[in-house]
Amino acid sequence: MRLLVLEDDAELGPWIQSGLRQQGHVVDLLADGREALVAATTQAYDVLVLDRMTPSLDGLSVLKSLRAAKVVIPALFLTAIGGVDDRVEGLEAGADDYLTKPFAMSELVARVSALGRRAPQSEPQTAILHAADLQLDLVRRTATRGGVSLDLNPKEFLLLEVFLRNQKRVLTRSMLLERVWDLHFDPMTSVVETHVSRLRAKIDKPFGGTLIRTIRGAGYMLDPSVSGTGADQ
Amino acid sequence: MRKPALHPQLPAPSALFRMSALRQALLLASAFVVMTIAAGFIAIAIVSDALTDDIDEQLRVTAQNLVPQIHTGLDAVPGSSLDDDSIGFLTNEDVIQGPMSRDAFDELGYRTAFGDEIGLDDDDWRLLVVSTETGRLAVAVELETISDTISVVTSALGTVLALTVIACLATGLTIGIRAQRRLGRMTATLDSFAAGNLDARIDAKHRRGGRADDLDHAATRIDDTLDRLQSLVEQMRNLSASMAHELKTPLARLRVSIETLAVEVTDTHTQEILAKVLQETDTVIGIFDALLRIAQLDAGARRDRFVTVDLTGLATDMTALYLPVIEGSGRTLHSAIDSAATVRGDRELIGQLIANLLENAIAHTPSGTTIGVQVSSSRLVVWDNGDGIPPADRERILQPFFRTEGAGYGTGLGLATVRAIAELHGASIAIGNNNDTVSSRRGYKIEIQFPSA
Repeated sequence: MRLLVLEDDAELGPWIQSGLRQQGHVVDLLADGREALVAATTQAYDVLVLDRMTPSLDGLSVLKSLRAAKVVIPALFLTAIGGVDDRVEGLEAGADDYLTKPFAMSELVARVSALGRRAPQSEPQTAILHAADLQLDLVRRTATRGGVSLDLNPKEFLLLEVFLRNQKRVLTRSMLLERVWDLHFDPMTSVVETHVSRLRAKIDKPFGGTLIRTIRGAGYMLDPSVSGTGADQ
Repeated sequence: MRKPALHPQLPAPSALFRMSALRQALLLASAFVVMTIAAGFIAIAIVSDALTDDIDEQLRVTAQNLVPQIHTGLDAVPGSSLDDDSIGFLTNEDVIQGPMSRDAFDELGYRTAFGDEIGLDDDDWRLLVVSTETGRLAVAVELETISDTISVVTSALGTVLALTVIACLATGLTIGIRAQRRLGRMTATLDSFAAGNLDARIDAKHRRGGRADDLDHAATRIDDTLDRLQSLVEQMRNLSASMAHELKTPLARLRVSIETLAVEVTDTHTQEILAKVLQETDTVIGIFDALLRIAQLDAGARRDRFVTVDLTGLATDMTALYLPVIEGSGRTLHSAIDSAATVRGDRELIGQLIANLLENAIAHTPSGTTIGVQVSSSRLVVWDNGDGIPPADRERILQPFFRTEGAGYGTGLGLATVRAIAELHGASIAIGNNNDTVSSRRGYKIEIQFPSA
């Protein structure tokens, strides 16, 4: 994808650019807000990564100006730690996601990737999601694998739905916490891991498959191409 | 930057007597009214006495004039003296001359009598009886004149009094209400400031245009104090912000360097060490993040974004989220959540509050403990039947970094964050032992009471 990164820090900027390039993206790095605004309006990017505090024009204002100019490119907002209001302010300004610095590169990569695939308003409203022999009926709220009906509670259903909508993409723990439980903090305990475990116990183990994989150091991924009886946990 | 002063409503009648300025003004007005009425009565009494004395003098003069002229009786007196007053004479031979009855001559001296007692017209009469060589002379005057005069004086005074009373009360009320309003403006400003509007000021001088009195001076001093307070709060906020600004870059770069190294290194042992280093770094960042958040919450952040939060739904979601972890660790979860409980606040923060309480319960109880969540109207209770906490530690447990066990678990700021979030919402926190009748373990209970929506 073509990405625009606005970050004025002399070390973080290049690090972000390098990390994203390693994933195969084309990355333009700018350190000035005004330049970024011009670039975003004149060139075609898939995702914008904007730091909040930048010289000449701060990231928040850049975002507001872009949205006012009807530029709908998905934008991820980078904020400093301790900012209680930052997330809400970013969302109100038109951001689609946000990350607190410092973050793990895997987190940034996963979120940028998720934003890139998300077409803002035109995701087709399919009633059925599927991967390999797993099927999820969104209207009837049923799940089956290989024709066998699966007994899932509402949160497990939603968790599976999120996985199915993001096949072959890494979903980090915080992304899952946000999308399934609408929570935005770091739990001290392994809540997400435990829930994913339980889900696997229902949809993978009985069928000897490993649809949901653990990506070490990053998160989880649903990948239908890896079928079979792998011993991944 | 000062916003315009506030205008409170007219006070409700029930609250009137608690208002010192109004009460004082009305008290003064009432005292004045009472004095004026007393003065009126005294005035009437004095006038009445004076008039009576006048009449007595009149009688005395009349009697004095008549006595030398009476030798044998009234018929000896020239007719002109008999015109106005009533005069009667009782001879020594017990013969009555004149219109009066015998009773009139009974007592000597001055007295007031009814007309029908003494044989005169039905009215009040002032009577003087003197004794002469040849008998007793009685001179009388109708008090009608006095009564008329007294009536006139009384009604005049009464009218003046009524006008005075009305004027008094009206003035008292006006002064009182004005003074009360000024006080009310002060308290309203202070309340507004305390609620988080750091711009609130009384702005008294501006309204009075230069003729400042002591209330104005007090108001100005209060405004100056609020200026100082606002500046301090903002300095503190800026301090947190500048701290974050200063530390975010080194911390971010630190993490980046470690992560880069962890990726490049191939030796497993080094990788393990670096993984630990990264973990500890993240803990440091987490502690710093939590500290800054608490500081911002204490300064009132996000309060203006409060909405109605479905506490029932949120508590249900949180218990469902933590259920697998609780059960997986050998503990049980018991939830008693009333339906349709709502509070006014921030959903994300309240969610974090519940999470912190649950994680705290998981971390500080032995395996096999039951952890409970209870929600009823605007009250949230998280309890457990673990080992409880000693009473001495109960209050300190909300302080940052206070640990009942050894260090090492989490940031040590979980409950401090709970306190900050609760205070932001105006909720009260009560900590105590949960007396579990079944297991007879003391357990631990924390109650968050939100203000009723």
